[in-house]
Amino acid sequence: MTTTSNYMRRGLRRRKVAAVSTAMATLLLAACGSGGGTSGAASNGGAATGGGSGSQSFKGQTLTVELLPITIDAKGYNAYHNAMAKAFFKATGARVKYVTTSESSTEQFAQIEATHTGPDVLLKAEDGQAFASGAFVHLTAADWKVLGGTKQLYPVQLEACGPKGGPYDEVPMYNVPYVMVYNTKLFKKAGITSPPTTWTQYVKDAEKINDPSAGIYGTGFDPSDTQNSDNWKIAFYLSANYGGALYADHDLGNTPTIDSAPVQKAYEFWYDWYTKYHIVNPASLSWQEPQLQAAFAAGKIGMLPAVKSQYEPLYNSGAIGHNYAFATMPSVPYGMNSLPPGGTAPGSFLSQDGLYIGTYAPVKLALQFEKIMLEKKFQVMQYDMTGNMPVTTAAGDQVEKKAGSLLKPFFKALPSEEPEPFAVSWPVAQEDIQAMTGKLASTLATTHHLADADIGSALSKTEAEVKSGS
Amino acid sequence: MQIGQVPHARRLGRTGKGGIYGDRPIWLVAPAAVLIVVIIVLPVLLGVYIAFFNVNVYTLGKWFQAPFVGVKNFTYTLLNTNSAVGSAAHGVLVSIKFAVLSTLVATPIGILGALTVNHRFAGRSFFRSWYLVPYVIPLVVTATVGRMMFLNGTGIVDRALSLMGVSAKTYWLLGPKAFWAMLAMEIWQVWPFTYLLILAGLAAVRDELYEAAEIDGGRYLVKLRYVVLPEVRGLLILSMVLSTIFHLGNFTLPFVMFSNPPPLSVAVLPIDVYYRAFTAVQFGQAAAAGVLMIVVFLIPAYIYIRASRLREALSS
Repeated sequence: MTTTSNYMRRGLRRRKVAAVSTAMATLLLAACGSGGGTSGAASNGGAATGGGSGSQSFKGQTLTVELLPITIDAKGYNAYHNAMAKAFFKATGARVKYVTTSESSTEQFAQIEATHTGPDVLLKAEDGQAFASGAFVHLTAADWKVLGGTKQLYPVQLEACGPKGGPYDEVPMYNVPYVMVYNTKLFKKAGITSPPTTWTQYVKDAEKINDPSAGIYGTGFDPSDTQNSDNWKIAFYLSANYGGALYADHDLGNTPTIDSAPVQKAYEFWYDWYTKYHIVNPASLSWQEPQLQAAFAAGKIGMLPAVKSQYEPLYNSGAIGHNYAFATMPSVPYGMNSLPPGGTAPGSFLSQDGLYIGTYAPVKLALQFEKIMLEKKFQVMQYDMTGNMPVTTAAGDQVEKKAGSLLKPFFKALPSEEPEPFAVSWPVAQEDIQAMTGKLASTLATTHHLADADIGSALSKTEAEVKSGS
Repeated sequence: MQIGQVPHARRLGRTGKGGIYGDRPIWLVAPAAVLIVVIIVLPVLLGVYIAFFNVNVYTLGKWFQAPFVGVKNFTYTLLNTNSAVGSAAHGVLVSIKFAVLSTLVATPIGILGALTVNHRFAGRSFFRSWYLVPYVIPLVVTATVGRMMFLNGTGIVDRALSLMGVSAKTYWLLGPKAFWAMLAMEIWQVWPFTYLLILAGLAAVRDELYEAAEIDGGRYLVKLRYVVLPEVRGLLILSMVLSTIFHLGNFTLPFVMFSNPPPLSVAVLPIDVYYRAFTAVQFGQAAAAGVLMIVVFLIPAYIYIRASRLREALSS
């Protein structure tokens, strides 16, 4: 039989547990809703507090800098990072704490935006989403003066750092141009003396190289890789040649033109490599980019569009050895003799990564680190370690002089680079376009047929999806 | 002393003298309860809250002030088929199909595995351990190897099937066939879970029951049906329910084995939630899909609770 005192004790226990739970919940909600930071001086999402002369002492402070995880040449990377840290300490009296993350850029950026905490400086690809979120500092003219001014950069770099005319929230660190690569041995065997400059020649050369019985194909693609290979890149080039683009203009609020005739023609031509010209390995319909690159390195593919110089070690270690060369992308659409009205020939799309300063971070200190990163010595060192092109003209000139003839096409592409769209919806559009190419690949795999209407319908749905999320 | 009475022991319960332990047991549990509230209950409640608001890249920084959209996130998520991962309704169907088929196929394999190593034979210890290999291999590794195995033309599965004249150069990683490739890897990876539980249950089956069945003339299948399965029924139901919940929540296999987003045929609900949150940056929609996922998860849990209560009622 339960006594009254037992009931009372149980009731008291329940109230105590409830009180503790409520207190914990309140603390948690307060932490979630607060705009806390670790060490910062800048206002949230707004302009920085202005630059300093560089001689200000930051003795005793620590700047957290997040760079890419080291996957190759750890010794070289460490030397580069340590050298920058040393120079930073000499200039400011402060130390650098390097961190890395295994999270994707989007996951981390979402965390930073929601919690207003994170590394003081982080390396990230440019996009309008980050700009619009207000999670990173928008640099002022005074800030750029601290960094050494914008004129030290290649003009096109700034176009990717923010909306037209600024302000900019990114300080570019390196540029990764994309050109085509071809197997010189297969070219020689097929009697081809120079890389193609038109897409008509591209297809003809690929057909000459094609030898399915030996497992060799003229070119390659990986449409079902919706994660690694950025299947919007081919449309970027091809649609520009046709006089169109994935977005009408390079600006924050811009709407997509994914469902436009030039983009449709671009993808029709690309899938024709499989359905009409048969110049790609049928198995590549389900490949991911690593397999595609491995097949080229194994000497099984004649040429590939849109590759970066970082693939050199892979190619050098494969059966292809040093029997490859780079070239600028073809620029005249298939079936035409010259660019149509409005058509352009981008040397590459501007693919750069740069440093962002969190709004919670010590901005003046962070600017000092970015200033050191832009110095010619460290830009050249970065190129030596990674193969990524420098972003300053001084470093670029030095690197071009010492670069071998193999890398000349990358430098040739630099002046005619075109920036990716800066729209807020662009990161999502990239994913949606990649998903679309995957779905089309699934259709091909299942039905062995892909009509132009299928491509048109897929583009239309993709554009609708991108617009619905804007 | 009466049989069953424990001297000098305090008994929990509703008696008065020498009864409950005072406050101590409840207070010992309180820290764990608080952690459960903070780590599990609160995030779930916050997720449900976010599902009714338009939390995206613009509003994430001040999500408490995001605009209220009512059930719009739910309707959009459930019905919009333009998304790269299809609609959440599609995700639910794929997830349920995947979970049910995985459980239905993996469970008999697990039972069979347990039966083969239940009785003594030379090398039994080796096989008992060997059966666990698929389960202990990290799922990421299983998914990566699975992808390589199912590559068309070069993958071992496609090559083996071609040699047998079953299929030639099939695209197992694209289109509808991707579902069966994923299902095969899932079954391979999880059957040891059922095997472990059933093996434990078999150890508790009394020899007298087998002897009684033999005396009545029962052969192997009769013993299996009238002795083994009834005795391990509780564990069997538990393993099926837990397996189903695991299959419903399996994110790693489709994410690693295919790209992100994967083909529609393998776009299970966890992939839908991830895509909406971290690729499309639509946290409100992702939260709505997450709420849908909780509802789906509750189904097998409810079945298990009902089955447990029914069994208790029958036994009492």
